[in-house]
Amino acid sequence: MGLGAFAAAAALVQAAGDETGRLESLALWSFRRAAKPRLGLPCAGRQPAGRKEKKMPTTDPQVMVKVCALSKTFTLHLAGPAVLPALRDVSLEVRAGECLAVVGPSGAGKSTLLRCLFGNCRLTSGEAWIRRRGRLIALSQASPRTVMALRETTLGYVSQFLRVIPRVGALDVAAEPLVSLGRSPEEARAAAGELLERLRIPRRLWTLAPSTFSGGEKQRVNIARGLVKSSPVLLLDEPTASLDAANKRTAAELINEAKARGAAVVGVFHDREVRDMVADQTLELRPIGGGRPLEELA
Amino acid sequence: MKPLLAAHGLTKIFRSPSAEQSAEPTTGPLAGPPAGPLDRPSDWPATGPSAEQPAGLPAGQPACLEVALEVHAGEVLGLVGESGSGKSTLLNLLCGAVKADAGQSLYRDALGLEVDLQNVEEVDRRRLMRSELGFVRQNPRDGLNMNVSAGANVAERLLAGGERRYDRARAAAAAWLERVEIPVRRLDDSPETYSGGMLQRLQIAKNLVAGPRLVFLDEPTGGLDVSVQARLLDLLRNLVAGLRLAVVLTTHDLAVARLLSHRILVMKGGRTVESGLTDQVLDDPQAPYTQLLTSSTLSL
Repeated sequence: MGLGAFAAAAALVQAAGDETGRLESLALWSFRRAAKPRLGLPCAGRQPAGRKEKKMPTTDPQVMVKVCALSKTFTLHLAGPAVLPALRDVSLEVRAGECLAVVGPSGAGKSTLLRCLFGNCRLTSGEAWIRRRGRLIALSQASPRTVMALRETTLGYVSQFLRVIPRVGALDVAAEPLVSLGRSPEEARAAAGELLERLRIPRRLWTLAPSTFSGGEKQRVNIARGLVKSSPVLLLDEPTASLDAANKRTAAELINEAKARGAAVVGVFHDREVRDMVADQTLELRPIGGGRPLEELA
Repeated sequence: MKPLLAAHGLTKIFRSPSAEQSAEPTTGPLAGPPAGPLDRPSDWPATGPSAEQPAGLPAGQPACLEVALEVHAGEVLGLVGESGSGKSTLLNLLCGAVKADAGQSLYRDALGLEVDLQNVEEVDRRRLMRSELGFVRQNPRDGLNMNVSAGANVAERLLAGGERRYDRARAAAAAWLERVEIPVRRLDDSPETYSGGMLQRLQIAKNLVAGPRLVFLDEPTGGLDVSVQARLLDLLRNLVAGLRLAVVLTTHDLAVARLLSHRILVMKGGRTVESGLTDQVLDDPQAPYTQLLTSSTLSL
């Protein structure tokens, strides 16, 4: 969008030969820069930092994830448009080595919150920061390339469902995040294999594409894929939902090991046992607007 | 870091004879204000100058209107949109094969010099297209020489690039056939004897053998059945990641865009409707048209 505005302004400058036109379009350009449109609900807490006054939200270097007065509204143009508020005024703070468990009924916006932190959803208002190499990155201002860099180096995400790639075997699915970081395929496969082994995926399945796997097997491949990188920030969306008791405990152990090496974890755990094993703090979300299942609608 | 390719204000109007004869807007079913954002089909504004069209441009069918984009090294940019949205025209404008009515397509070459592919001598543009750039066409027959052997098609690029030893060119061609999963024993066969999927893979080998930095792919999986498509996508994914290629690809298949591209640009009626990270645009689409596209897909 910013690029589009720039191109429009540049075209105006080109089209207008005289000095007034040039000044006018430059004024338009600076106006656009200054007044970045922010739609949606007014945020009750702290106003998001503008581009010029880049105030850091916290001075504590241990804070890895910070969310301040975050609201997310889905606008469905095809249905009216219908406006569906999913998150309202959510604030949280997670330090290195800590795990925050997000709880609430289905449709409370738990997955939406994780998706916002992963850069999969745009923030409607408020702000979320992720620390990357010592600096807090404000997600609402981050360019696609910045978000890509964040995902590569900092964020590990375990989604509810594994997105399978045709013809790619389970071991390579789990190893891929390391390969895209630039590690050698052998090294990446060794690290992924270790995780698959611990999560009890039989070796004979490693070369098969996970599209034929059972729900629990897919979920375990997904966990291995999310944890293989040793990311400083982990976002876990019901990683243990379809696992048996033994694998649940293994997943919880893996999460605790990640915490021990200093990872900040934000997770949704429906399972009480797992939650008690890993969580240091909880955040409760309530559905907005009559509890419609927003996660499904989104 | 500076982008490998940066386009600004690319605009192309296809002049129709009727529009040239009468400068006035034509009346009839095609004329009138452009339909609303969700009425279909409404791809193209009416013939003749309209409010949508920037001033100072000839009358006709606007195929691309003030499109701007950037591609960095190692990045895959997907152009998506329905048929007639201007994807292929944009690809042709980016590589300079079609001359734009306005705008630039600035490519940073291997020496770090900026070349406007829209405003460069044809000789130099062709040299770049054979060495640093590649263009894989939707119909492989358009991108291959069907009168010479498959191996010759691949080796041709190397010979044009200055390779003077036949045995080395032949060995390189054989290595590339193997890489795109074509049996090496088919090296001397005519492409006429190849299947559609093999032809597309041969065209990819031909375009990658010279070690390009930026490749344009026009509907790379169009017209292939799903098993062949999956194999080709797998190949493209590995090649792009392994060679750190920059790619601009067009596709109408959002699943292909999701699998291959880092960022996407949604086009409609020659304009950019929305752009951003692929998964964000597909999972949290903002523009009405993008929401229509994502909700029209069978499975993503």
